[in-house]
Amino acid sequence: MNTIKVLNPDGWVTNYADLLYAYTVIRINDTVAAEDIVQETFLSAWKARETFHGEASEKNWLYAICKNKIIDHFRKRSSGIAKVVVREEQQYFNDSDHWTTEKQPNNWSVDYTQPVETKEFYSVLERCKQKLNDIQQAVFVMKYLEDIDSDKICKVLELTPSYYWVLIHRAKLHLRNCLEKNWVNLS
Amino acid sequence: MKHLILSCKKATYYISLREEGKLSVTQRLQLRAHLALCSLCKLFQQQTAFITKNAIHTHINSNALLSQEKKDEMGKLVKDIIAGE
Repeated sequence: MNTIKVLNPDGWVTNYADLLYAYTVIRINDTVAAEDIVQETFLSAWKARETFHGEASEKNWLYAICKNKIIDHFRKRSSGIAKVVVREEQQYFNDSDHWTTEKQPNNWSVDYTQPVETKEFYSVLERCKQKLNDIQQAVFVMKYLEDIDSDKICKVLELTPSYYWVLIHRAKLHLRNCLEKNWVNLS
Repeated sequence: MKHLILSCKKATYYISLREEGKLSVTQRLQLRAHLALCSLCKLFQQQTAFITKNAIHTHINSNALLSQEKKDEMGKLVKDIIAGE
């Protein structure tokens, strides 16, 4: 016998508000906007309740609505950001485009193929991510946390592909360097 | 021969492009050759892959919670909307 999946809007806030909030705030790095997104998620879900046919669980259905709102948030933010290439990556590479001694990668002595087991990694990563500029954060989150492909990200954020790849490159350079300084114990 | 040799700056840039299969055959070969010889860029590749693979689990490891006040407010709002239909 199939279980008919139904929505239980009375339980939404109790069951999912914190989950959706944690999911959102880590992505957009703005507590007030994250609260709004969670609230909007419930309101949109209620309006769209007749489109729920139980293919996904109620939880995943709410997550999907929330994800769309996060992408909308980035779209709106991006339209107000100047997209100018600044030659900031020079600190990582010297005049012949080789690593500078100061910023070159050092071995972390961890197994890079294994998942991280410490919560500390995530709090450092979060602090490092916050140091990226808004547009770098947006592309990093959309690409690596939301797993959206670059063509779609460029479309949503109105970026040229070459600019997008520069942003991804820089985000990775900054994050790697920041984690090496703050998380890894190089001894 | 010189044009075949990638700089570290370019090699690290190509690493992200390769994730989405956006390199030409020549670029792929250039990158592979560079990574075989350059231990620094190899480290960059391993470490950034490590970061991005783990990053997807960030929210599970987050302690962010809504205030009870905010949750009450949302609960009331949702309740009102349901009642209004």
